[in-house]
Amino acid sequence: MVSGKLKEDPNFHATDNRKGTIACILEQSSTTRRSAGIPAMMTGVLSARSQVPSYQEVMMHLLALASQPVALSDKDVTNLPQVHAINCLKEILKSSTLGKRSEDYLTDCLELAADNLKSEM
Amino acid sequence: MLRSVFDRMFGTSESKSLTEAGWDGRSTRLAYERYPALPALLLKMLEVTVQKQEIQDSDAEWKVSGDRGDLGQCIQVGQDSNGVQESVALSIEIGAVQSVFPAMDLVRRAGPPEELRDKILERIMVHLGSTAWEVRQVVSRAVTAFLLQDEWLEAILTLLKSCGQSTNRYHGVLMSVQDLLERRLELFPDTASGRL
Repeated sequence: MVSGKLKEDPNFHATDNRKGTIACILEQSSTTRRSAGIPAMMTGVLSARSQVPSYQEVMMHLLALASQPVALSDKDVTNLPQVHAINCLKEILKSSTLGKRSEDYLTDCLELAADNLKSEM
Repeated sequence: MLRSVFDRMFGTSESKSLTEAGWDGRSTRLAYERYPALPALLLKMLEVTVQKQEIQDSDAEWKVSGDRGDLGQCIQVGQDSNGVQESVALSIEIGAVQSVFPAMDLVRRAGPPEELRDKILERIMVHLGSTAWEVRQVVSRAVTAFLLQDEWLEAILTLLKSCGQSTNRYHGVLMSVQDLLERRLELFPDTASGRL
């Protein structure tokens, strides 16, 4: 069944993996400030260079997640999707292969980083 | 995250001493053309918030004080819609100190962009009178990047005239002058003296 899916849609695994990684960002409690293995999962998905999800799509999604406002009274501070998204973006920028494609998003990332310096969290 | 952005923009091949020294007035450390939205973002990051506070007692002895670079209060007397005189204090508040540091550090390392250059310098100079010594130090180094051109002496004289009444501002301006002279001596030793 899996090989059949692959034959039909070469992006099958990448799409599923991306969805799984996004689910981790949204739901996973991380005991580390660096979001454990979530950034590595994300860079792994992007390294596949599949068309779906595209690099652009993933970057826009991560930027949107990271930009979501955080209320001080928000749930558990170890379960903030914004933190996981930022750590994913950081990992992408640091990557020698993926970082080269990030030029179009550097200004947005700079704004995000500067805004987060003002965060009350 | 900020460190990653800067590493991607500037690369990681620069030595630490080169990074600390800042822009040399000539080389292209950062191609602003590749980031068209960057000058506007720098301006936004350096934004100064002005808040109006109505004063209960419109004392006639109060006077307008402080220039644009003074981080104190500027009192203005005017009239409300009913023609009653009122005094309003304009408090110039600096946005969170941390948020201006990235913008200043970028300008210090890359030099100012041509687009919005004057407005960015104007916003940076507001912070020369900051009550925080560390901010004045960072600002003075950022201001240096703007004043490395050949008309540096005129720039210094203009800067000194902008001190106003604030001691903090005096200190910030003098630090800028010192940084500029030291940097020019380092980069252009043949032109660093004589006219002084």
